Amino acid sequence: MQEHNFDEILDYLCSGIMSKSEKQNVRDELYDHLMCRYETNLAVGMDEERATQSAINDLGDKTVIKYRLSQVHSYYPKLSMKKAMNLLIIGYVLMTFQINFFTGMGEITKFIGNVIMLVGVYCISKANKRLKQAFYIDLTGFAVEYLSVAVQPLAISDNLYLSTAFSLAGSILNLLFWIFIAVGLNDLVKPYLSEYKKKIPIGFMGFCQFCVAGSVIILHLAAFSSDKLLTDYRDEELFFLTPFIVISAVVTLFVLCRVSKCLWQSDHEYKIEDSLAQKWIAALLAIAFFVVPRVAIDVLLANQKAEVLDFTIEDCKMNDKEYERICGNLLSYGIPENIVYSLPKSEIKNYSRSVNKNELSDEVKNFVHESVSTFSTSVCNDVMIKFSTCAIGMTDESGYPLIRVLSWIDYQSSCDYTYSDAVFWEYHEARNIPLNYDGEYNGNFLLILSDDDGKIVKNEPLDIYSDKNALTDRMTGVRFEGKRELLIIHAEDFGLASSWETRNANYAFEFFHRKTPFSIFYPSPLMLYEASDYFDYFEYRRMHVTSYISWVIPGEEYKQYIATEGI
Amino acid sequence: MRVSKELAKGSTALLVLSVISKKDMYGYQIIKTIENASEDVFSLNEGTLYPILHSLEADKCLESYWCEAEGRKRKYYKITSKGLKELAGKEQEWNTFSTAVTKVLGGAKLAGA
Repeated sequence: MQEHNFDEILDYLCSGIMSKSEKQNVRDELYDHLMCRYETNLAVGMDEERATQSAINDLGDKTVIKYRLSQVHSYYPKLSMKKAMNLLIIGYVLMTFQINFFTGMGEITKFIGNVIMLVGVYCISKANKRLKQAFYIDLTGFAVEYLSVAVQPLAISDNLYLSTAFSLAGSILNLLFWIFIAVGLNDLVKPYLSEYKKKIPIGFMGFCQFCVAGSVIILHLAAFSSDKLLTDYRDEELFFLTPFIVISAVVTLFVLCRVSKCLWQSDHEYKIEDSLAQKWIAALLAIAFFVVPRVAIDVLLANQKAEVLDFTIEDCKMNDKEYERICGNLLSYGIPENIVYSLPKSEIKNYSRSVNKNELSDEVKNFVHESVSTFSTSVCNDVMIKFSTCAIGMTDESGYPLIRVLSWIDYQSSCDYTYSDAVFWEYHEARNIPLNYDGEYNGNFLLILSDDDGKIVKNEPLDIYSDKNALTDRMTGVRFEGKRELLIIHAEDFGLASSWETRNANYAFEFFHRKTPFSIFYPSPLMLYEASDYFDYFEYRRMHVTSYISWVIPGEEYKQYIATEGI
Repeated sequence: MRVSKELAKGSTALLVLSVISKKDMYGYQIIKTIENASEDVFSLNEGTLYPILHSLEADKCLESYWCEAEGRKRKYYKITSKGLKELAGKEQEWNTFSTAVTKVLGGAKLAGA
């Protein structure tokens, strides 16, 4: 019997089948069918051309056959397309809304949502080529996005934009993902739309997601050109995005739900032949994409120790605004104007931690006044009560006030801590008392450890432990410089990588030997800045500074900590 | 007389399992057998038979093997024990359904008479 060429129609019908061997089998079977019909047609007297055409026509709706074949021969886990769509929806909801079941859960929710959505896309990706491409884009985007988090510890002033570059790449991939998923879903439901009889605005969903992802890309590019990072944008600056995000989220959910419903009603169920394990392998791979580079970088950095460099007062710089603020504070304590303004800037810088007396409430002023008599100068020989109008202060050897200090006990018993710049804490006590006592930390908090003789204790292990019952915002760390993002924590606590209490900490409480915090779920930028640059940065930039001049010790030079090997 | 697609929908798997249970068959043969047995009442959309066959195969109701015939490869389907159970279940389901329909139709005629 002569061979007949049905290549074109067979190519079309089998184009949705991904597996090459299965595709060939189906092709052979359909070829046999078409040849049988063709021969029958010839036998009843049709000419060759009519016999061929009739054989093809008798197959029925080619589009429907193609899709049903592609669905039957998808080889994903035993998960129906409908269930996969539901996974997609659940993942999208978790990822988009980042539900905070409890403090700090948002990041985790987003991550879990990301993984679930990835598995969902993976499961539907066999339905057609566009969805398959969408899956690979999503997988790559997922990896890139979390890589941008993973490289954050490497982000120092020289390569600040490394993580932003990854983040930008992630946004571009996100944009591509939504384009492909929109086209893929459209192809998927097309054969069933006539039965479903309701409109599914897939194109509009793609457009909305395109707008949001496009805006984020533009913001990234703008951040590049304006010398800041995307994370530097304040919430109010990004507020304009909110309506777009909400609209696109609502439209996307609407579309995904309708697609899922359309597939339910189409009464098609595609079972897949591969093992259930594939689904979990995909999830584990996705997690590995995130965890492995992060762990590798953390391990790499954990071995790097910080070293102390001498730092002279002359190296300090500050901008005019900061200079005026400090001078104002000094004046508020009754220091004569001619003295204040005669001081060199490097000296003024010493009082940077001071607070304007006029801003203190009467209650606080009274408290400070009363506490003068209870404060023991024996805690530290360098500390003297110097401020003429009731404040407690630490001075340099010449008697100039530096910072105002309370003893730890006074600090704890005070009902308002906002006036205090620092706390002295005896080392033997500090080793045993949890820092997260039931109180708020001072915005300008400075912890100075002293031994029984009042000498400053440095470079000793500090066994700070967490109170498991404490709220997370009163956790093992203390707020440093009044920036919520700057939490100090003992390096040893970072061993508890999954501990929620440690997730925000980005400064290890080891004065001279800082180890890199290990925090999986929260970006903890470890950026080191020259102290001289610190005050030149805007507020938002300072929030990212985790290490600069650590404290001022009377009679000693400024200490600046920088790490070796580029940290 | 041919029945509407809606009516035939859902019974295709039953028909396929039924004809294969009698003899191993290939796709085109199944179509012709159903058409002949039903005296052309059931005329399948030929192309849509194959996804159904493959789906039944994936569910382990059918097994397949390849043979050479007329110079080309031909895929034959054979019913499995699971397929026989499925067939028995579907037959029972169908009998219940058709009896009920007959009763209702008969009742309607009586009422109208």
